[in-house]
Amino acid sequence: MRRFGRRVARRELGEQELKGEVDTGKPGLAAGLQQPGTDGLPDSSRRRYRLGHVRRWLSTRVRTGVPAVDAKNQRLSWWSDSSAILFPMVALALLPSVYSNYALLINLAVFIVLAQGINVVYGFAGYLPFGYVGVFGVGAYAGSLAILDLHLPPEVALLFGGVAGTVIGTVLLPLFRLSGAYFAIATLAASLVLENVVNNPSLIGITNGPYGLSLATAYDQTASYASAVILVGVATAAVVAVKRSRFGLALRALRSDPESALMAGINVPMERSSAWLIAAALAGIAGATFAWSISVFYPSSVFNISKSVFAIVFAFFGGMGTAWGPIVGTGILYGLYSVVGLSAPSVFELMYGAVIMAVVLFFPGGCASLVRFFKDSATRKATRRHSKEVMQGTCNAIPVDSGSLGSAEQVASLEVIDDKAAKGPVGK
Amino acid sequence: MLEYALVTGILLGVFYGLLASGLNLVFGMQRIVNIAHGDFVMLGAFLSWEVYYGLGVNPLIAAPLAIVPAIALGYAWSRGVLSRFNGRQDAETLSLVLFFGLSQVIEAIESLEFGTNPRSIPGSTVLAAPIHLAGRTYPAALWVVAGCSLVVLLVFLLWLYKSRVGFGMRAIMADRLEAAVVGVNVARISSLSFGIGVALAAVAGAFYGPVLGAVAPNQGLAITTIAFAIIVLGSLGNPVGALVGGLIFSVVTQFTFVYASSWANVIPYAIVVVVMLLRPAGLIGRRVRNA
Repeated sequence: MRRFGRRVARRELGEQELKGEVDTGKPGLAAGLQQPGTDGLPDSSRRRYRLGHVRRWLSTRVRTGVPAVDAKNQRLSWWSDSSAILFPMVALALLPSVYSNYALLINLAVFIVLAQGINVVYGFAGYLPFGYVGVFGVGAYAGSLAILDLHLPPEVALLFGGVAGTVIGTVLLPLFRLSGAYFAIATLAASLVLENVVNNPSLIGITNGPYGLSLATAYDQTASYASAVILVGVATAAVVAVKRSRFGLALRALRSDPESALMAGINVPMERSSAWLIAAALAGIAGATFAWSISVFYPSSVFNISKSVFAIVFAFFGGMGTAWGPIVGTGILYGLYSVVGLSAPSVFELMYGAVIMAVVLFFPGGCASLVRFFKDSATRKATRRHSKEVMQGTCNAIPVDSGSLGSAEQVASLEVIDDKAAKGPVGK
Repeated sequence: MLEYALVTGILLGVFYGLLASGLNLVFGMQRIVNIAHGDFVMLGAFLSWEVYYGLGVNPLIAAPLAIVPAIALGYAWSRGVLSRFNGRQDAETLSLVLFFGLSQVIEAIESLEFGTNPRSIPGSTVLAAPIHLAGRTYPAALWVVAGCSLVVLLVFLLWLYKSRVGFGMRAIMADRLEAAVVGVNVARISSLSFGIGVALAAVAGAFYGPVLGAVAPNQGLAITTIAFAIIVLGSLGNPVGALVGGLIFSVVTQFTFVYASSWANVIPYAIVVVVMLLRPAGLIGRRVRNA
């Protein structure tokens, strides 16, 4: 249903516009790329339209499950974005007065951060890091060792964890030469390598090997929880910033089709590396925060592959590529986990395995796509009413079907975006 | 010590080749990574345990019986569920997540049905007497299982290279579109290959206990990673690659166990990362993937 109207729109926009047949008041894609009589070199007047082309093209790509960029989304999102940053912070800050299990609350906060990190790397850039937890674990160890060996105050040690996460993220950057499933499995293997190195009895002098670390001296429940809450805000703010920026647009473009993105002037390796490093920094700080608040941990707990898997599932369930999705997904599924999962882990595993399969098969956009579906269905109703009026008004005019009307609307909305957006080339 | 490690490595390597070949076949045919492969192996292992202790049937005899139901199951899954991804953007990553969900479901069902504790299937279930060779004593199960694995692998390869359906499979591996153009029934044969992949996993599962000892529901992902390391090493999608990769992997692991035992666990994962980055086509060439 959701697809139908837009698929029509895509067909019509995509093909006609390519030929320059739709009068959008601006040169069509084909016209922009190959004007007769030009030598093919980029000149500034043509580069102006490129971002517009990218947006327009993205708005027609809806089957990825990632929300299309359109004017209405953009207008609404101010309100929803700022509330996505503030709401979880306020909620997490108030929760301890109702529910005093700090370990669960910390996990909830950490999972929101990790899910937002996955959101940046997969939801926007399209790389699924199964081994994301490797960075988390390195952050946990780096933060703890900074407290234990360098005697840094814990708040500074958190940043140290973030730096370590970024460094290990940089080391793993060559993995981005792979894509799709290869990337996913290679990161998984990389995180297992990291775990086995940290875990190794030969390194017992540094990491205490399989016996883990204890931060009992630096333990501070209130302060660590407060930093976790702030971190949730920072992570969501980062996602919002990515979502609203040219950078995020570039990421969505390269996710849809790297070659075309490259053609549109996006520096693909640069942009995807930046996305990954943002996510790595978040995971590093999250790891350090987790270590600080949990105070005693083992390699098997901070490098546990189920952490990145949970984060992926939560983000998928809520909706990739949105600011709210990972928050909602983590809230619902982790809430469910703390009710069912702790007493009957196998039943929970069965349930969430089924949930993952259902989400991937039937609504890859997650909860966010359901919300969008209902919003769209309201729009569709309005369109249908409108088309009826048009039909009645123009007595026996040519039949107008709602599909083509929808696309006309889309053309109008796209022009709005175009005016706002056409400021220069994306990337470098 | 040296020749013991070498012989054990080679014997285990044949078994590892069988373990990885199902994953390799599915990858070669459909270009998807079956994360649930290891869980199919575990499922096979648990069922063979049940059959052995419930009915007293030797795992080696139980293994062939699993083939037909496994093929049916895999065929139905591929036809009914996987085909939904056809033509969808991002199908590769989505199918990865889908298989992950499946792997969780299988693991959970195993935990509910058989419990989370590891179950051991001693090698003596296959053949009790130890084998003496050149002054060393080897567990007999190792030899028997390696022999059986080799037979299964040879039958599979022979079928793949000689039969009509196998011919179609290799055509699809070479080029899906062109195979369809010349009249290969791509949808049906792909699904069949998925079924065969599951069947190979189940057979490997029945052999798993007697060779490597205990089985537990949560080993699935680790087995998948090892199998993936093997086929990356061999060369993704190349049917013979799994055997070559298995042999190399196993011998290297055995030597690491002898000379630097604490690092032995890192080997499979380091292999994946290094080979993927340095020689993405695998060690015996034939580039099949575009990454």
